Amino acid sequence: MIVYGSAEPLHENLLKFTTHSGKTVTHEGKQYRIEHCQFGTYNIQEAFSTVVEETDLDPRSFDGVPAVEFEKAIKKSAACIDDRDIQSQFHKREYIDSHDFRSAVSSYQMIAQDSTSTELGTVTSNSRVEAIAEVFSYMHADRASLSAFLPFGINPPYYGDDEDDSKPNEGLDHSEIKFSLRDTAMQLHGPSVFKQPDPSIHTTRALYKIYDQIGIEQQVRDMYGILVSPIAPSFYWKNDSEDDSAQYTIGRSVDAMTGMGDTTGKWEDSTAENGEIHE
Amino acid sequence: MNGETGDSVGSKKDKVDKAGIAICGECSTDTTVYITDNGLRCEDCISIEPDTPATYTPGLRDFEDTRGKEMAENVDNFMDNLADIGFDIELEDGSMYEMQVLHSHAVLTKYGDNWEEFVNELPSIVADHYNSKTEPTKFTDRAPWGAGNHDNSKEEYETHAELAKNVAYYHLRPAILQLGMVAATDEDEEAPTVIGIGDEEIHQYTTDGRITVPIDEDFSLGGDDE
Repeated sequence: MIVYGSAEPLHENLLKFTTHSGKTVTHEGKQYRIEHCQFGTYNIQEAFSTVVEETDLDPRSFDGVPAVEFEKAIKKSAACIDDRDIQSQFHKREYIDSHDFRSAVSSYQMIAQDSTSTELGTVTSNSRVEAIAEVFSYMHADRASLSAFLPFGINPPYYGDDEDDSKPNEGLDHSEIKFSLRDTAMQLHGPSVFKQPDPSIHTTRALYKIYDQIGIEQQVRDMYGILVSPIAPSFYWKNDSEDDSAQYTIGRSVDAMTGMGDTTGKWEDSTAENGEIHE
Repeated sequence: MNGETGDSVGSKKDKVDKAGIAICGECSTDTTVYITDNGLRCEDCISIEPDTPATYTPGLRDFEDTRGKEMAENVDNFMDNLADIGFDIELEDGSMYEMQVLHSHAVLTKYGDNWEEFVNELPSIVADHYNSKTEPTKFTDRAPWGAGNHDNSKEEYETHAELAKNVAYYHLRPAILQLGMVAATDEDEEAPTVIGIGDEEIHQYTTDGRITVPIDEDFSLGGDDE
């Protein structure tokens, strides 16, 4: 494991790592590109051809195209291993779990249909086969993202270790960490689920700084996973009881019902004179 | 682009290195790309400056990390201020090993007043290695010639003096490391200390020398043998 003393050498290695993202696959003489192949070292051509040939469905279509049909197709690929006992003998990147592929198709359908998901990138495929190639890219991006977010828990309590560089420092809010990493990546870099990432030194410095502050050693694969993650930053907004937004909303409703306040969302400065209102 | 060829080309700012074949972040062409501050760029796009994105961290935009430069300056200052001490040791084949200043100081750090002990014994140790065609490395005190990863390690040594550098380094490594730590540390910071663990003693290397603590029979690193 390389310890990076600054963001500059990390940026250099991240860009070199990025050059291994794209692989070209072919179907009926046409070439298609699948990205993030550092996270998919199985026989991509064979898996791609199998899915293309075993179904005539289009993953972009939401109506009447159950993702399970694609799951059945990928199961016919030699790259697909569903036996849990055998899966554990491999690294995750060395095989395809049919559930992962089905999940990728479902998510791809949602991105293709849902205009609000543009923050994850827009589907640009012009054909069914091109769309299937993008599903593979999505699945790899998801793997990269999962691996990058592994050091962080899903729910509180916030475990951590001030001495261990593979874990965040103690007492940190993991949702806030995940939000800040993804939000920084989106603001400075933009979506990269379906395309090769293109981080600038400024983006790398900002991510490096966050990792530095949370006490985790900066690694190329993790940075890559943050950049290509198919998870929108808003996913990490808190909306549970831990956050006071729900309580605040309920409180305001009660206040309005009892005539104690208004629901205009305006903030009234109690020290202001002449009833000044600040929006 | 200034028309250079090979693994690196000149840009407006710095020399940039070839990364491999990938998509150029500017023109989206799948071609040979180079490492730039803006990302991966093909030869034609290296000089194109992208629009500056809005950022929460404007301070990182033109940030220059000077820690490496400061460390190099500290080392230069340290080396300039070292007393000009150098041992010239005549070896058994008549060749002369001229020990560099830093290594000579490492002898004093490790052996203190007993420095003559090392200087007097080195010729016979070197001769022994030379005759048996071995050299000490990080992992063993007797490896074949050329097996070490020391810069000076070679398949063939013509004189004892050529081999002496590797042999001396093996014996002085913790002291050299300690001096290196001190050299790279800023004046207002405390230098890290190097700990050496021997079979029967523990050494702590400091700015001023070496402290040795013998390990007696009752010494334990923890745990219970019973």
